[in-house]
Amino acid sequence: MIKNVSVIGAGTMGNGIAHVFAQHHFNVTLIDISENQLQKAITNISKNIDRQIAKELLNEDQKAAILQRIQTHTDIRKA
Amino acid sequence: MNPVPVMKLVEVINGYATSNYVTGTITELSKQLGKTPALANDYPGFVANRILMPMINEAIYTLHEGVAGVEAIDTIMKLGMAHPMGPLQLADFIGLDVCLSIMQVLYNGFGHPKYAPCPLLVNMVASKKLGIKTGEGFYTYLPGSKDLVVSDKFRK
Repeated sequence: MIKNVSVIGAGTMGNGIAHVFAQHHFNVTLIDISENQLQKAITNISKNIDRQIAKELLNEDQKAAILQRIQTHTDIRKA
Repeated sequence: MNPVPVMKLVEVINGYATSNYVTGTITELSKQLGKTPALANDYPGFVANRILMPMINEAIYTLHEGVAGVEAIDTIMKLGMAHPMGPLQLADFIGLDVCLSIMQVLYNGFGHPKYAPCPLLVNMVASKKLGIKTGEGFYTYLPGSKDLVVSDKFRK
């Protein structure tokens, strides 16, 4: 069983893929060469979870757990 | 597909040298995420962009050649083909720079003139009219408003 996934590239697709994996209880390493892009991705994921919370698909506890399952890295060799 | 949390599809791409084991693993993984996987081989645009983007490009040509206006094109494709969004509205949503870059991948990858990006699309990207993200494309987007207003550029 796969438990850990790495997502390379934290753009539009990458942040969504990291979000969905983390929501389904995978440990995610999100990798991008830009720290700024990684921060933006986390902010975006957080906003998108808020939207799911507004629709009552998730709650605040789940949000914290999802965000906790996502680590970020700028160096693919160290990730 | 984008936005990832909302869209149900995973277009699984089989490279020329990808083993069946890898393809099978990814297919299974997609199902675990509640998505529906569909398999395509690795050629320019795969399936989704190869079919979608020439349709959007053709919609832009249709506008460019004066066959119909923005609203008419989107209404015809929405109501006539039961598409949830017209092609020009969808282009604004995707970003016109992204649309142009996909057409260039198809054009360079196949070398066939049918994939040539519409000059209107090229002009709009050069003028930074990229759709929703810049506030203007085929439509004008005002903060806080969800109304679909055709851009002044395309109003008669």
